[in-house]
Amino acid sequence: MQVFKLYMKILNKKRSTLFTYLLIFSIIWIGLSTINTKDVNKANTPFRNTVISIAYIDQDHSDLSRSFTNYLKHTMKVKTIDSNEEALKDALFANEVNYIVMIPKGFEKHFLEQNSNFKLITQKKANATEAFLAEQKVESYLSSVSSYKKAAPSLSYQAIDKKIKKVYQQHAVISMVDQKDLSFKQEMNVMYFNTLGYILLSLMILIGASIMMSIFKSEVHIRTLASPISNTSFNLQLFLANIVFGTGIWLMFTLLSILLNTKEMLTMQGLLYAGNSFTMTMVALSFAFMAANLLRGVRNNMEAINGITNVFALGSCFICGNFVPQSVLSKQVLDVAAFLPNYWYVKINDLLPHFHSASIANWHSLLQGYGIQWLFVIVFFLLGIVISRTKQRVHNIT
Amino acid sequence: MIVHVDNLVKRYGDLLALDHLNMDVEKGEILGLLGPNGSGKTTAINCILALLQYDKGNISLFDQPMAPDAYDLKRRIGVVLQNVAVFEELTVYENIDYFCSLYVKESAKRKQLVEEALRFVELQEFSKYRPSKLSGGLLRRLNIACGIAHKPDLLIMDEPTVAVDPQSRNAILEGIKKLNALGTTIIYTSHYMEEVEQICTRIIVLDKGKQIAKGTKEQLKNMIALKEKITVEQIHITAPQIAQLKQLENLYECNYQGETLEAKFTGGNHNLLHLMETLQREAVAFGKVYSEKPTLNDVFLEITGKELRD
Repeated sequence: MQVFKLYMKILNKKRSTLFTYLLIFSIIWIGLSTINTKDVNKANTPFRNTVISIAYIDQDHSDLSRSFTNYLKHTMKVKTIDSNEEALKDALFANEVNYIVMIPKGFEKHFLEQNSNFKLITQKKANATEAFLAEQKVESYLSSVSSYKKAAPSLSYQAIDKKIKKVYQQHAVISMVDQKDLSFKQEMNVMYFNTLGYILLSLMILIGASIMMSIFKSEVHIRTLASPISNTSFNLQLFLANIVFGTGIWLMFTLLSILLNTKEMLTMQGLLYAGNSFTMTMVALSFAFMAANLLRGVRNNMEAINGITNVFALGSCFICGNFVPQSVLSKQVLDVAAFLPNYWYVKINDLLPHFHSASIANWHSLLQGYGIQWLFVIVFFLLGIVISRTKQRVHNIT
Repeated sequence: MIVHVDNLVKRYGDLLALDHLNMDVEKGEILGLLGPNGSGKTTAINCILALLQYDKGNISLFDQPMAPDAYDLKRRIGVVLQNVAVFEELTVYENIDYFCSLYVKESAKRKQLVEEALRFVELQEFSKYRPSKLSGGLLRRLNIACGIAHKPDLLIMDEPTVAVDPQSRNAILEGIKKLNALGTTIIYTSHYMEEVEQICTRIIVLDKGKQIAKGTKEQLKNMIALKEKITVEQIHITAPQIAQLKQLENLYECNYQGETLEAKFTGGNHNLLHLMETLQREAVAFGKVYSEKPTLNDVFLEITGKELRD
């Protein structure tokens, strides 16, 4: 196990670099989670029930005004305030109410005559959404009454009131496509594992590939080739060392996710998140193996590794939805992203909060995502072997 | 026979890197492969180590055919490469330990071998240093320690003293002689003829992939006409006076260029005395005079018509 031990020794020497990267990534993760958490809260705001506070002054005391005020009481929160002008202004200013309606004397009479010059007297809080909503509700009621009266003049206000009540008691169910009622913890989990995709890719390439490049450095590699260690044993030990390194990093982040979100992680979904991130670790390792072979014999290959990390890790994470949800990315971008493993990794993470073990469609999407990622593992690994053999052939090495 | 190379041919495309090379190395000797850059020394070494595929010929080590998977043979070989082959991330001790571990599994034995190697190259006080903290000479010594720690029967050294200061070079050469005295057979490649002359028991001279001469240094020097070269500096001499000099017995070549006279003799005794007498007789003033025995560079020059370091 000489090569395995060598890998671990070099890894140990690079521990300060490793911890620096971990620190940087943690800062990135905290930053992203802060931004995204704010977004989550914002996204939920428009769909909260809003209470509209209003006040009214009925000077008409007619059947219509009684039905109208009855409607106001059922649909909004009616507050009692003094009817003098100063008190009304104070109530609006102090946010006690958002909207004030005064029903003037003779309102019913003029309403039936459709006298457009005679209107309700209203006051509202400037630029308040609730005031607009209140205004909308008032107009909607009066418009409905007017329509009923035109269609059936003999219909009493009580009868009209009953009909309108039936309408406003109906509620529309609103659901967001792709974001069905995710809890904060679920949102955090998705974001944690999506960001982890970038961290895994970067760490495996920056650390894993740089260790392999040290081992592959032509002079020392020739010395190794001249020694009595077989190629198979050399590659197997290197492979094992990579797996141990990758698994160690994955285990660390998985344990951290359990600590941060114990309830969510100790479920079927949690297991599937962990499985998905493990698959991504293997993708990142096989890519690092390919990159290390590609950069064998290249001068300043550490600079090249940094370039590859930026292009592949950061670039793919941007277009695959690790940092921004796939739902906000354009179709064209996602079509390109589908050729990258990260896309399938993120797709599974996005699916898991809505995952039902009884759903065949869910299982199909899940296994498809896992399968494609493992295909990438095989392809990158085989490409690494082919590149290695080609380089050896070019240099005529046996 | 430790190494037997028979009719080895190696091509890189159209370039013939090794042209029917034959080579035998006996137990206990230091065989020098001498030749200018690009003569095929490193290619020959890489073929012997089964690092390179070759087009034709046979190579056997310890009377067994050498192949990439001949691990039992590889176990008996040590390699010191032209470029320093160590891990920058590891300390001096860890580097020697790693390369030794490729040959010796047992850790207690390995510890002892690593310490011996450290003592041999006198790097004990630097054992915890990273290679980047070592000077060029110390780095070369570390490179050697990594190749010899497992005590190989055959040590192959490919230009181990390139870019090393004279003091470190002498230390390295002394070390090689010491290793040989302990029973290690050595193949040593270099384009520094002085080194090869100093340590090698037998020499093969290569040029353009071809073996142009082989033998002990004495045998090689006997292959050429030159037996003594006398150089006279700060001399002003006329053509008739040079013609007088050319009458001297055993003198076969006389060159005068830039106030320096070079006279070459095929043998004989008292050539220097006879030359001085002639110059005095002709009343020629001169400065420094010295006589030299032929070097391997002269051998190379006479056979190929060019300097070894061209």
